[in-house]
This record gives sequence, C-alpha cells and structure tokens, in this order.
Amino acid sequence: MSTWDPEHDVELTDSEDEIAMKRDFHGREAILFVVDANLKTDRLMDALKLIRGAFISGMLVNGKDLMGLMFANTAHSPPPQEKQCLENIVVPANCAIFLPMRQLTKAIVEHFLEFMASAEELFASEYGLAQPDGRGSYAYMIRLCIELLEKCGKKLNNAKIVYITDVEEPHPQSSREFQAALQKASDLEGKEFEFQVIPMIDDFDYEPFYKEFITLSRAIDIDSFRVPDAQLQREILEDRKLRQDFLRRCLGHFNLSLGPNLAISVQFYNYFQRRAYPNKVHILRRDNSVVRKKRMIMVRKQDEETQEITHEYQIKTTGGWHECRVGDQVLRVTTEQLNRVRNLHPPGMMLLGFKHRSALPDIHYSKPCSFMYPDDQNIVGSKRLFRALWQRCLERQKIAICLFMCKRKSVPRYVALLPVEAAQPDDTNYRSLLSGDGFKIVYLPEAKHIRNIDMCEWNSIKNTSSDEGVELFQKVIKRLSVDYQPNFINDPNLEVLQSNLLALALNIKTEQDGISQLPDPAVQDKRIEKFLPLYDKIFGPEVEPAKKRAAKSSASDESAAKMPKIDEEQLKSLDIVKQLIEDKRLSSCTSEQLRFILDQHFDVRPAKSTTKAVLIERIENLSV
Amino acid sequence: MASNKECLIIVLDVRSCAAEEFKLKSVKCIAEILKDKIVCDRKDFVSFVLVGCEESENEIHAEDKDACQNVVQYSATQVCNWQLLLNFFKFVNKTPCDEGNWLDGLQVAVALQETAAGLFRFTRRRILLLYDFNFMTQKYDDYKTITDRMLKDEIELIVGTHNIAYIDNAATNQPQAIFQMSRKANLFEQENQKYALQLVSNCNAMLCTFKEALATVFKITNKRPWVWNAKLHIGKVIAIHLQGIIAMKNERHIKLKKVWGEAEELVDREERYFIKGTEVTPLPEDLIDGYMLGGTPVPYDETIVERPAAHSPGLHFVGFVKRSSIPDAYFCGESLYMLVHQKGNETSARKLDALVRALLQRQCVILCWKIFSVKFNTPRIVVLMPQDSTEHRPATLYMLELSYHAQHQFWDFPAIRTAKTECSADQLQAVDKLIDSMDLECLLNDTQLPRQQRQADLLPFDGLPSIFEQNVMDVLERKVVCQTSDDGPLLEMMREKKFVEMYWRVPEPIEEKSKQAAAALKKLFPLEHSHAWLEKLKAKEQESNAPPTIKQERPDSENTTPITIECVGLMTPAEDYRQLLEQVRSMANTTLRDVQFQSLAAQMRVVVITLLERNKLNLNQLSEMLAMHRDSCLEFNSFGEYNQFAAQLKAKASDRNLHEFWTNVIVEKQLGPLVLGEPTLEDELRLMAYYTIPEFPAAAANEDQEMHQDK
Repeated sequence: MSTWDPEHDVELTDSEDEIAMKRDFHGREAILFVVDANLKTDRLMDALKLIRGAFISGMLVNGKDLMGLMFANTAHSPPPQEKQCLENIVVPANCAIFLPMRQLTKAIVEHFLEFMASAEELFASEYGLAQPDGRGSYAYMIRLCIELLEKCGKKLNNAKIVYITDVEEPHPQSSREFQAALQKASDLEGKEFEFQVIPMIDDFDYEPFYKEFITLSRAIDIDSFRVPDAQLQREILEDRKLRQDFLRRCLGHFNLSLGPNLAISVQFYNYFQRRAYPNKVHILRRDNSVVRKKRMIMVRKQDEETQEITHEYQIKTTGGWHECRVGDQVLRVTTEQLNRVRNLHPPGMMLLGFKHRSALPDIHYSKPCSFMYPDDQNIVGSKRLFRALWQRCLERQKIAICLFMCKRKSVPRYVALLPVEAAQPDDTNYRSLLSGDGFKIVYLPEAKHIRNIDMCEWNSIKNTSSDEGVELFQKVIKRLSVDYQPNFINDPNLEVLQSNLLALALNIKTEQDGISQLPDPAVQDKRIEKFLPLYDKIFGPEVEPAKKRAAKSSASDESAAKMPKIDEEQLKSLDIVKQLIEDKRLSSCTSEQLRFILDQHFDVRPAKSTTKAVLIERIENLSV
Repeated sequence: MASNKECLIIVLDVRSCAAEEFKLKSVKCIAEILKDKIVCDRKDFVSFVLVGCEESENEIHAEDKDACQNVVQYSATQVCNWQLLLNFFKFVNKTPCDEGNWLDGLQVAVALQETAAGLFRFTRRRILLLYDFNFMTQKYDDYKTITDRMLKDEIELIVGTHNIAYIDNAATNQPQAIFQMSRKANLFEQENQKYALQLVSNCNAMLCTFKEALATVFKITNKRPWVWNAKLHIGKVIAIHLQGIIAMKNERHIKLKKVWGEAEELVDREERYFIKGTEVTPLPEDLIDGYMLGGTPVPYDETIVERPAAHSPGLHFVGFVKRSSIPDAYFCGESLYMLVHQKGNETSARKLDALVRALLQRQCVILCWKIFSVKFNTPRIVVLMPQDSTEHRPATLYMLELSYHAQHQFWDFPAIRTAKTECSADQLQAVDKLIDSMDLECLLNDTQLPRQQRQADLLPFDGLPSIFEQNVMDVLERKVVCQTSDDGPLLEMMREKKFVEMYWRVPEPIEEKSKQAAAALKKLFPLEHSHAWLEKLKAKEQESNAPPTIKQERPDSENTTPITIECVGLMTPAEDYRQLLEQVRSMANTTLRDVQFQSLAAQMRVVVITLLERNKLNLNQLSEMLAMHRDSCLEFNSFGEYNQFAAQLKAKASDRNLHEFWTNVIVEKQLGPLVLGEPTLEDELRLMAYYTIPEFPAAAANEDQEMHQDK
C-alpha cells in the first residue's frame, strides 16, 4: 500500500491490554440445543422458532460457533441426515440427534427450515413421545450430550447445553433415576459444560428438580440460586445470548491484596463484548472459494550496482525495533525489551485506600468498566471476606482505590471499586440482567488522559438563557421523553448488512421498516408543534460567527493559506539553505518549501504524508 | 491546527551552600521534564540557567560586567532530545560557589525568553525556578521590576523548593503554600522566604514542592483545542450549533520511531492471498468481496446490493431519557467528548444553556445518533449528559458512546449474601477498621496541620501517574546514559525493581495503620490456598507452554545435533535421557525443575520421532526410550504432553505404516496415553480406541466440505 510509511509508524500502543478485552480464541464456543418431546405442538413450534432465531443470529454474529440439536424423550431415534457422524456415538433409547455439533452453513440452516415446515405434522410420527409417561432417562440424555460435545472434533472453549422443556420434574425425587441425573450434573461440573434450562411456560417451578440440578452443575451453593424470569430467558435465547455461567467465562483470575500477606482471589468480567461484524472475506469469482488476504512486511536487500534483490525476508508486524537517537548514535529498543518493561509488574490488584462515594466525579471516563466477583476456588474463604468488604462499602458508601494489573504484559492502571447490587427478583427488564452482587471496576484516567481546556474564549455573560427558555425546553423534554430500552437499539448499518446477507443466502426477507432509518424528525416536530413558534420568538435566528479564514474551494492548494516566512526565491540558493540549517531555522519554512529544498538540493521526493518534523530531520541529516 | 509549543527556561540553584538533597532532587526533577518531552515527541523549547557558578556567562553579564554575576546560561534554547539530557547532566556540574542571586537567574531567563520569542511563536512561556531559599543574603533591588516584567510579558513562573507545605487558607478554603521550618530561621532566611511567598501575589507564581512543581509543568491548559463541529437536531426546527472537544482520552503518549529493516534495506508492506493456506496470485477482477455467514461465503459488493445512502453528519435526536435508566456499565469507547456551543455563537449558547438547565431540572439526558462525518458515516448511539455552567466554563454536554444490545453479556452471578458467607459482628468491625485506617481523605481533612500535598487527598483523581510510560522513560534513560544496545545494564536495572515497587504500596501516611488493620483482619478471616487449584493452574500452564518448546527443538535435532551430554543424542538416547533426568531430579527449585523437565522431555520426543523416521527401526531401543519417557511423564505430572505425544505417535505409525512398531512396542508394552487416577469407563473406552491398530484412514480433513457433498 502506498499510503503506508514506516517513518510515520511511530505510535506505541498498549495493544496487549486491548487483547485482554478481546474474546478468548483458544477454542470455539458451542451450544447444544435439546428439545423435550413432551412439548405440545404449539410449544414445540415455539421452541423450534427460538432455535431458528438462535441459528440465524448465531450465524450472523459469531459464525465460527458450533451448534447442535437433539430431541429428548422421543419414542423413536431417527438418524440425522449426516449418518456417519454417529459412528462412534451410542445413541441411547428415547433420544434422537437431529444435528451433531457443527459450524452452521447455508445447507444446515436450510435443512432445519425444511424440517420446521413439516414438523407440525410429522414430528409425532417420526419422533413420537417416549412411552408410557414421556420420561426417558435424564442421565442417559445428559450422557449423550456430553458425548456429542466431547466428540465434536474441535477444541471447545465454552460449551453449553440448552434444554427446552415445560416439564418441571423429569423424575420423581425418590427415584433412582433422579439420583443418576444428579450424578450427571456433577459430571457436567467436572467437564466444565454449562447447563441451562429454558422453560416454555412462564411460572416454571425449579424446586422439584432443576434448582438442585443446576446448582450442582455449576458448583454453587443451593441458597444462592436465583430464579430466572422465563419470558426473558426465551427472549435472550432467540438472540443467542444466554445468561452465562459466571465460572467459565471470566476475563481472568487474580488476587486482590488487602495488606501484607492478606489476599483474596477474585475474577473479573466485561459488561459487553467487542462490536462484532460478520467476517469480511474475498471470494474467488470462479468457484466461490474463500481467499484470505494477509498483509505482510517484506524486507529486501538490494545490490547497489546491479539493483538486484540479493536477500529477502518477511517480518511480523510485531517484529522490527524502535529507535532512539542520541546525537549521531542510534540506539535500538527491541520489542522484547519493551515487553520486559511490561512484565516488570506483577499481575494482580492491590488496595491503596478508600474514599467516599461522592469523591468520584459523576463522569470520569476513559475506558469501559469491568465487574469483579469473588472466587473461592483459588483461596478458600475469599468469598466471605469479599462479602464483608462489599457489604460495608455498600452500607457506608465507600469506594476502594486500587492499582490493577489485569494480566501479564498489560499495563498497570488505577481503578476505583464501586459496590453494586443485583436487581431485585421482581425486576424483569433488561437492566436486571446487567450483573449481580460485586464490585464494578471503574478505570480511572491518568493525569495525562485528562485534557485541561481553558474555556475563556467560550465564556460570555450573554451565554445565559432566560428562564423562559428553560421552561420551554422543559416542556419539550416532557413531550419527547422515551424509555431507554437497550434491546431496541442496534447498529443500523449492521442490521442492513445482516438482512441483506440473509436475503442473499437464505432468501429470508427481513422487514425493512425501521432499520437503517434514523428517527424521523418530522414526527418529532409534530409532537412539539405548539412550542415551535415560541422557540423562534425566544431564541431568534442563528447568527453564525464570522469565519476567520474564507473557506477555499477544495481544488486549491492547501498550503496556500499559510504565508511563507521565508522568501521562495532565496531557497534556490544552497548557501542560504545551509545557513538556515545551521541556525536551526528550517522550521520557519512551510512544508511545501521543505519539499522544494529536498527536491532541488538533495534530489529526494518524500511521501505526501510526511510530516514537517520528519522533513526537517531529513534535510538536516542529508546536509551533514 | 494551531501549534501548541511552549518555551520553558529552567533556573537552577547550584550554589555550594544549597542543601545537597535539594540539588539531587532538582536535577532529577529536570531530567523527568526532559524525558517526558523527548519520549512524547513534544516540540517544546527548553533551556537552563545555573545560579551559583564560579564563572559568569550570560547575555546580560556580557553587556554589563557587574550584572548577573555567578549565573551561567546554557548555550542554546532548543527542542529536547536525548543529547540535550546528556549535555544537561554535564552542564549542571560547573564549579559552584556560594554566591548567586535568584533574581539574577530570573532576569537571565526572561532575557532568554525574549530571544527565543524573536525566532518562534510560542503559545506559552514559562520559567521554572528551583531554588533553596536559605540563609544566604540576596539582593532584592530589582524585585519589583522583574516581577512586573514577567506579569506584563505573560510569562508564567513556577517556583519549586524542598521545604514547602500546604495548608487551607482560612478565608478562601483554597490550598496555600507555606514554608515549613524545622528550626528557627535566621533573619536572611526569613527575608528570602518572604520575597518568595510574595511572588504568588506579585506575578501569579505557583509556589510548590518538587512533586507539585513537576505536576504543574506537565499540566498544560489548552486555549484552542481541536474541535469537532456538529449540529444537534431535535426535530427539524430545533438545531443547536455545537463544538465537541475531547475532555478525556485513553491514549499512550509514548512516541518511538519504529524501524523494520537496516538502513540499506528496502521495506515494503504487501498483500498476499491464500486459499486454505496455499498462496495464490489472483487477478483483481477474479476477486469479489463478501462476508462469511457461518461457514458459507456470501458474495457482497455494490454490483449485488445497493449501498444505502450516507447519513448526514451531526447529532440526530432520539429521545430524552431519565439519567438513572442509563447504566454507566454500558459506556464504551476510549474517549469522553465535551460539547460546548459554537465559539462566538450566542444564540446557540443560550439554547444550550436553556437545554442543559432544563435537563438538569428534569434529571434527564439525551439519547441520539452521532454521525461523525460523511467519511466516517457509521451511526453510533450516544448519550449526552448535561453539565451546568460554572465560573470557568459555559453550560456543556458530555457525550459518551453506548454499547449495543448485541454486545451485552448476561451473567448469572449467584447472590453473595448466603448463609455460608455470613459474617460475625467482630469480622464486620475489623473490615470497618480497615476502611477507616485506609481513608485517603479524612486524615488530611481532620487536622489543620501543614501537609505535603496540595489537595487534601493522598491520591487525587486528577493526578494519577502513567506508570507504564514512566517505566519506559526510565528504562530508555538508563539505556541512553549507558549508550548501549545490549541488555546487560537493563537487566540489572530491572532486577532492582525499585521503580516498579514504588507504585505498589499504600501511601506512606496511612501505611502503618493499614498494616495493623490488615493483620487484625487476617486473624478473623481464615484464608487458605486451595491445593487443587494450584494443581489445575500448573497443568494448564504446562499444556499451553509445551507445544512451542517442541517446535523450537525440532530443527536443530533433525540432522546434526552436537552430541554432548547436554542433550539427548541419537546414538544412545535412552542412556542420555536417564542421565539428564537424574540431573533434573536433583534440582532444588521446583519451578526450575519442571521447566527443565519440559525441555528435556521435548528433546526426547523429537529424538523419538526422528528415530521413527528411519527406514530400519530399532524396536528395542524405541521401546526402552518410550517406557522411560512415559514413566518420567508420570513422575513429573506431565499427562497432557504425553497424551498429545501419544496421539502424534499413532499418527506417525499410521502414516508410515509401522505395524510392527505399533503391535510389538506400543500395544504390547501398553505405552499409550496416561490416565489420571482410577480410570473411568470412558477412559477405558478411550484407551481401547487408542490401542486399536490404525487403519491409515484418509485424514478427516474438512467436515464442512463433507457436509456439502452430502447435501
């Protein structure tokens, strides 16, 4: 690419720190859907619709994820379309695999859609319900799930089993099957597979079976189980966004040191993921094969006389080194050395002190917050001390100030820990899903991140509005108030892209209304119609301040506006240029003039994007 | 963009009567200023003036031999670079004497400012005076003239010295600097300090400690920042002209020149194309843009889909929402913008003022779409938060980006208040004690005693250091001073760790109390490291560390490994391995021992694979080697690596059709994967599958493709 100039590539970022926020790439995510055949036709169709939604949004958002689908408590076990996938899997009675764990493709989704179209009529005959009471063995079903996940052939990072049902008690409490099922729950815990139940009825009772099963599968105390809202669970499942098990998906574990020899173990999480766009690729027109584009940096040695390339090698973007100049000498700073500087600090968090909640300004922002939750696995007893600290901070309105290094090779940052509480159980809006009990980690901007701006040129006594104006805007606010519903706000450009992709690939038409459209100002005007005349009267027309410099037409030379301090004619003489260099007065030339000097006297034509400082440096170097 | 250059002249006390500690600190302070300017690539101009040298060498003295004696100015006023720092270290060692007036130093500095201003335009002109106001007599005849001159020329003066403390002014409640006295000051000292204090009222000088002086030098107020011009539209009629200014931004200021090749080498960035790992060189017209939809590529470009029209730039109103309904946790992005009315536009200023006041009264904020420009046209949902006008600034709106619903994570955190975590009253009291004894604010608020910090806060939010940048600067400084590219002195410095540890400690005034409170807390809360966890961690680490070691080792042992007893050779591998293993076992440091074992095991595996590639296999040797290696993996708890290796063996055996090796060595001697603890049914099935004779199946290369063929 012609625009790239290594001389310009001078910025040093703390990219390692950003990587911490990225998703973990050590393996794929997997979701295995299990649909209970006990669901009556309507609910079954609703469940299949949920899965369709999850398939489609999964394909759009995280195309690499693996998904699978099976049915439980069926009478028959018809094989899936891809029969050979069952070769080393034993399907127990009353279970049927529809789709083994696969990355979704157009063909798979089409197959599922076909099945959905006929399911209403054919499900009962093809799959049926387990006899006599619709209760297949729960333990066998879970075993099959584990097998499917383990034998999927890919390394998994985060595997979930989503069980869709309306049966509250798959086995009676006293039965042997009940115990066997609970045993499988511990297996799930050991294998780090997450289990979710999605009830298809709203007042689902978790008591008889699922409360114990779920708490066992997650290794949490039975009294810390929160009953989720069924309706909300279904809604977010359709977006393929399940409430995630806190144990598996943290960004990292670390120790919080409260004093000498006193540390508790904690883990931290992000509130949201990076913005994910579908993967952009290049496709070969001929056969639709995917072509990956890689950018690489090539270094070549050229023979001065023959202009032939004598040696050629490729280096990584992380390769190379940094230079600093001391007089004539050039010192190299390698990436390793810089990394070693990062590694000087130990990962972890250290308590430095407390402040009152009010000490933290309302808006003090430089980086998205994270969330911190105790971890009893590493240091046993952490949870209790964490609770004590959290509870007292909450009650006394205190915040803790800490120094935090989230992982190796990152950079240490000052943070404030704000105690936060989970929403009340009856609160069922999306905000209630935000987080639970714990500390919010607020990253404090460093002194250099805060810009000090002197607003004197904006200040004026005429800035103050009359009370009339305030009153008017109060009325406007009242008329145009809305509820903040995060689930209705999506990236419009992404929505357009996704609906186009679906239309192209699967022929699924999305309602075009409402997407890609910013809100209609005419509707807003209508609601505040009666205030508008008053608005004009109070504030009057806008008078734009006179522009200092008349805007040039785009074609004209950019530097024309700058008045050169040094006469153009003089620069033609090398002696004068040399004098300028000696006096260190090159910076009073415009960059256009510097280019002229380079061209005229040194026969060098630097790239368009070269900055003035670099130009000066080059002239100075060349003149020696 | 307006240039934002400053000219900083540093006046430095080097008299032999000045306190030694003072001199050391002031040189350190100046080095910090220079380092910061060098590393952040600032174009500011700097020069120095020494007060208290035997010789006299400055502009004023050159004209009038009686004026400004014992003052030496640096030869140039220039942009900072590493050479300047080195020169400064030399310059400051001029032969000192007891004489030297600080006013003379200031006078020379003002003259230097004057000369520099003739050459360049600066937005700021500052003088930093570092002086020990001690018992030596000083001349104050020109005091008024000089201070007036600085006031008139708008030259800022920062005065730093070592015995400054702060108290709150009783009348204004603002922090005020005073001289701290350890003993009765003599008459001259009192007079010197009086004049120094008067600088504050005479020419708006800042009188501060070294630490505060440094912070003041770094704090740069910008009168004309970069602005983003935009209009806020509410409906079609209401429109306010705004300017967005970056108020906070998470950024790194370090600028180092990156180099990819030697001076004579050519560096190019190229694009290469690959299909499933094989490089191809398609013509541009052969390629079409597209997106991956799951595993299916979908062509997508202008010829297929019409691009939607660009949105018009600006802020497009969505609605007013309650402040409380927007969770802070959803704020995203790396910067915070402040929106203020367009400079000079009074109508918009009044509209914004009215809007902000109305929003504050109704506790509302604005939700709107931000479209940055025609080029950067992706809409972003932002929230605008009102800030009432103050003495220093008009009414403004803070603008923050919100994350989208599709990004949000929903966690299932169990409640923390459970029976198991219930705390006794004693325990809660101990926590309270910790909170109280580590209070960063109260300690200073309660007393009227002079304090070391300007603010009544041990860790003010607007003064947090950039630790990483500071570390890089320190390391570079050391490198430059040593003038070397190799690691020796650096490693030594890093081992010292001093400049790292200074950040990882509780502020000194509360350190002792906090230690006691933490000790009391420790007694009441039993904490214990979990053994299982440590083990798991270790296993994970080994798993992630092992594969690269193998890769590194492979190339050198493939053909000509020097056969010494330092590595496993091809001639007598089993014997070599046994000896080296003994050596590893005898190591005392467990971490080191494990690391050594990993590297040894990796060597061994490479040797085994190499031997397996020979045409004629020595089965006895192989079986001895494998058995020994397997046992050692069991001993060193290295299950993951061995099992991976076992899979590799099987692949190798099936690739090269090594029937005999498989049945007579692996199966007969049972050298397959290791099982942790009692084997479960699943483990046994797995082992059984492993020991079956490989059937040389065609590698199940691409499932996706197979799926396609099926359909």
